[in-house]
Amino acid sequence: MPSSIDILTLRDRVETALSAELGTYVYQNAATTPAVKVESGIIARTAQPQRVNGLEVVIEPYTAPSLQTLLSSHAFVDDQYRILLKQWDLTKSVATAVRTLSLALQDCLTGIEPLLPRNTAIDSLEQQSLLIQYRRF
Amino acid sequence: MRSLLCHKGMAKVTLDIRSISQGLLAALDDGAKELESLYFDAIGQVSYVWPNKTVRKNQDVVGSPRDKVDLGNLQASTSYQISGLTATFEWDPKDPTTGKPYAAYVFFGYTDSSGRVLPGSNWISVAHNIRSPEQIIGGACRAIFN
Repeated sequence: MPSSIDILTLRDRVETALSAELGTYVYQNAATTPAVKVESGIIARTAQPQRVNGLEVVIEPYTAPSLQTLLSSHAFVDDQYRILLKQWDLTKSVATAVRTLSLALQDCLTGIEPLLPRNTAIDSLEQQSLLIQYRRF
Repeated sequence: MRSLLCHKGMAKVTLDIRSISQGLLAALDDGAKELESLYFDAIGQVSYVWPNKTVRKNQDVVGSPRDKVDLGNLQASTSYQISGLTATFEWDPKDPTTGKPYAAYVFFGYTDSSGRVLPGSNWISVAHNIRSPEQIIGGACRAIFN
């Protein structure tokens, strides 16, 4: 477990590791941004993309953070996140991105959920998630 | 367990590993049955948040929160195997129309190609919040070794 990172650092590491594969959010004015976001559960007040092209990464809290206090009265928080990879391009897979991200985040990777292939019966996108835990001082 | 009082006034206590091992296996067997029942009930619990109304195959119209029971295939597919001191539970229902397995989509949730996010339903956590496996197996051990 790394000594101290935060959600913004995690987001940057994901974006850097997947720079060759990450898709794009496309906005109403045709602007585009890398398709990676952190779901905080707070209703967004910023412009929302109209569509997603390619691979999207959604980082979401997995469980409530656990706060622990040391005898020295210093405290730390163990944060757990689920990094969900969704493939909007129906001709491509998330497999390479999952492998790339697993290696890039191996210092805080705690698990990989099973691959959910595209299911035409329910029109689902292919997706797979990585579970992350790190300590915040 | 066997205890022996010898002529020096000393007691020896020896654990009978075989009977302890048999007791643990019996406790795991009893605990697994209880867990299976808990998981079954958890799938039927009205606690799952869903983004819209659904007309189910059984003709019920359900909103949110809801249970995860339509035709009951997911509940009915609950099974487990015991190997050594490990109980492994599985759910592997098949869609009656397509024949495809669907438990993982219910459990983890998914996004459809229109962008609709359908949340997952972790019935294992729901069951463990009612009674944890440690409590269940601990209780079964106490009942057997008492």
